[in-house]
Amino acid sequence: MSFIIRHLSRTADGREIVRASAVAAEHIAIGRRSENAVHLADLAVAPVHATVTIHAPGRIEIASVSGLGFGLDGRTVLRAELDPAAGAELRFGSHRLRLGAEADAITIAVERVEALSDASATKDQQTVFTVRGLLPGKRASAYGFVALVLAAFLAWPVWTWASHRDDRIRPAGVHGDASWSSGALSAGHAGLKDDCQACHVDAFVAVRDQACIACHAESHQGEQTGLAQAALTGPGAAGPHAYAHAPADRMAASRAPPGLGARVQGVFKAAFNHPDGRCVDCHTEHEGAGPMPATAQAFCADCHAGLEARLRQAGFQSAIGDATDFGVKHPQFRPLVLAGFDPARSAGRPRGAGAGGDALAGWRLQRVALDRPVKQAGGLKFTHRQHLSDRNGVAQMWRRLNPGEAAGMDCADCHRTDNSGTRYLPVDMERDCQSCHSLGIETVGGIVRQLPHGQPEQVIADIRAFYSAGGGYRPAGPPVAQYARQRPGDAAYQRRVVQLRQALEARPGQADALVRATFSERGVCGECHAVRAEGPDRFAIAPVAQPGRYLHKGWFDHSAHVNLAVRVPGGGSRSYGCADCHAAAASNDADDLLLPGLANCQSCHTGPTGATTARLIRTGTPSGCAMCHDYHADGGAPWVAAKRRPKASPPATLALRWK
Amino acid sequence: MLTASRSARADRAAQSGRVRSAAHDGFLRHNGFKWAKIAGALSLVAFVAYLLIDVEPRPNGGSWYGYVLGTIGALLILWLTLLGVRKRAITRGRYSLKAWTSAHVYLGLSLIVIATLHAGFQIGWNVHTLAYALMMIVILSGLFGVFAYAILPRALSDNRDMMTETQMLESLRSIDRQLFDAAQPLEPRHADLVRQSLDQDPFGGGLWARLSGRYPACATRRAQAEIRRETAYQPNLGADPLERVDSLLERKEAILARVRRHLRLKALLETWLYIHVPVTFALIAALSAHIVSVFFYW
Repeated sequence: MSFIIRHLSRTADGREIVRASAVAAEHIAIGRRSENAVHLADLAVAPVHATVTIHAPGRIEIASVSGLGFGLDGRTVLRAELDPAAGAELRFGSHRLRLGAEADAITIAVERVEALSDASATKDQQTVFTVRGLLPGKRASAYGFVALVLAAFLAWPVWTWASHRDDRIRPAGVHGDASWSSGALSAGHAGLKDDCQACHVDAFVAVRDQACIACHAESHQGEQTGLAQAALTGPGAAGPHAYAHAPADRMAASRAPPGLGARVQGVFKAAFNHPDGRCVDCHTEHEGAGPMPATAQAFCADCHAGLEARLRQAGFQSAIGDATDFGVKHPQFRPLVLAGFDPARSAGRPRGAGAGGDALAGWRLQRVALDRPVKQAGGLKFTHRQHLSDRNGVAQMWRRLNPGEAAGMDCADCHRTDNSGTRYLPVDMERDCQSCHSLGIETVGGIVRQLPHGQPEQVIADIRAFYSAGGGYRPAGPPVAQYARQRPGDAAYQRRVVQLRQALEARPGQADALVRATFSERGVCGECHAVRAEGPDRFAIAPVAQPGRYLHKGWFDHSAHVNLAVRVPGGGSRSYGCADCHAAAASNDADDLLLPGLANCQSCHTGPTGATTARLIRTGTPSGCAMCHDYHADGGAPWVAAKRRPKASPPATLALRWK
Repeated sequence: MLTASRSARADRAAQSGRVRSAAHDGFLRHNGFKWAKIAGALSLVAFVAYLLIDVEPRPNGGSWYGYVLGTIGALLILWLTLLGVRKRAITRGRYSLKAWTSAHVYLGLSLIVIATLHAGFQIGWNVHTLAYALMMIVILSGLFGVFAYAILPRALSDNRDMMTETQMLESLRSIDRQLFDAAQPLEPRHADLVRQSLDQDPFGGGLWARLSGRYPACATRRAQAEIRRETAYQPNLGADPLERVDSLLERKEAILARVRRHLRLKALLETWLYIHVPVTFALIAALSAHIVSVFFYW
């Protein structure tokens, strides 16, 4: 027996080259060393790796002598016996040996099947030096990203919207359109954060007023204020602007012609179905958590700058002046003042505020500009100057009644604010005046019996009852009638007793005399009231009104101004009181309207950006429109951003000091 | 008329050779930084307008100025993306690819200003900020690309030392053949070390190895260290095959070092595009979602 060993190799173009050699032996070796009959130039093969021995025809043994295995039909073995005629394939390192039988010889075809090194293997030079293959392809990842983004941020939100169209309230949870929210909702609307469709009802339709009214109308039912009045939308309706602001046609005429910016925005709005005049134009949302931001002054100035001329041009009669910025251009205040009493107007309407009536019922009211001193007849006589002096009889009496307090009277001794501190309550005779202006008629068991204020018939009846009961004149405590007040001291008191007795004795009918004296011009009633005698027992007291609010289109809060200690230019601080705005110390006429004018406010308040044309008396307070005005002016305080709201609520009653 | 006079001037210039050819200017300094100036002016105008225009209640994309900036930004993004189309058609002249690339870089940078002002500095966890973030990723990766293109080609050229990539591959194959032959007489233990060096893919190691140039599992270095350790104290008689293998391994390591530096520089030059391009498409998708969402719910 012998072996025929065929070394196969291939040319570059794949042609096979065979080099055959015959070995006449029963036993040959396979290995890397060149002495081996089967020489494999292969570093994975041992110098003498294995032997092949012919035991009998058709039976050969291949055995490892190096301890390293070899491959036989895919398995790694150390020894194998097989029939070469049946053929077999052996694997040594990178070489493949095919066994076979040919006539009288056993053939071993040797072929290198792997490149001698990795670098020698076929490499695509175009790609091997690049990062291609190390990273996902650009095209694949681009398509992947596009699909991912569109699915997560477009398809899912639209699907969410479509699948919840019929829900009245969308359930809480993770919704696809959350990723569309451009910012947190304000505190009041925070509960809607999972329910985009509460406001964004229809696709590509900007939020409509109906969405606002869906909630807000119900909460104001009954009083018909606030947004309930904004429900005036719909075909033929005046529109939400009509609510307590101005008629729609005037509003339309008063808008300034659009500038460049507004025209640009108009193009977008027209192109994308975005009508004007909706609630959300001013009440902007998604501006971040916290209170909803205040409506900006620019929205007001859009119309109110140049408003007068535009309205006139459109044929409207309007007295509304132009306003751009409080520090720069603002019309003079026009308070609503009393313009005389008309009994016909008050017919059937209770006037007593205490009885829930309208204290101003029957009064004609008119707006008067504060360009010059304004008078309003309120039905009372009062001398502010006299009362505020600290060196006259009033002051002396005050000092006697309130020893050690002050040299004279102060505003707060008579004027009191309402519970919010915003405005002043009407001066109340019993509470604020009567401690000096006594209505006492006699002393009964140490108690001074008072004539009832506000009830002239009762006063007359009381006086008559007093005399018919046999009462002689016994001046008791503070005496009634001609001199409501007396100079201090016993001598003065005795003198008054004598004077009164003489006066009564000089006239027939003691009671009649006292009644007349009481209602006379210098009497205890006539001293403050205009009284007209209409018969022996009938006296008409002129109606009295003390308006609590003069500026109905704006809001003034006294609590924000009381006893201001403010920095003044040039350093230092100064305390401001009532007298800095109200010129009461110079007025001895109750008809003087002591409201300060625009210039007074402008000496401290500037526009929101600090603009002003006035001479400031202190560092300016930036003041936007919304500090005093409300678009939906409903009698309440204007809506002010939280940061401008006072931190703590003001005290119930403010202690105002005059000096 | 204008065109004719211009081409006549160009002809004269070509004959006299007095006109400085722009061919040696890079895209960054193309035409005296023309596009840098245009983009800078655009950003400046946008910024000054942002400061001057009093948008109420506060600046955002829904104001009229926001719409203007948003439209400019979206159109810019689409135009910038077209570079991928444009670069496949190389032309010369006014609208050359270089001019286009220059505009791409500088207008792309101005997008930072335009988009930020469009957003009015408002960010949040939403699709709008997603588009912004993706845009910033694209711009920053592009910025990296600009720096890579400005700096790396010189380093690449220095490292190559006049060798082509074909030559590098051939030198690797050559040293492998020599190693293979030299290792034939070695005993199995040493032969195995050499075989591992031969079997290791010189281009393997993954992306991180490419970018960092670190190959801690380099079989060639290990083989060389092992053999050097054994031969260090033996006398060099000149006939020891191990010594020959040792010096071949040392040469292979030097070649590998050069190849790996080359691979690293090329990877740095290429990898940013694998971010820049796909994220651009993600950006366009997010931009579409942003625009649709704004008008869908508004």
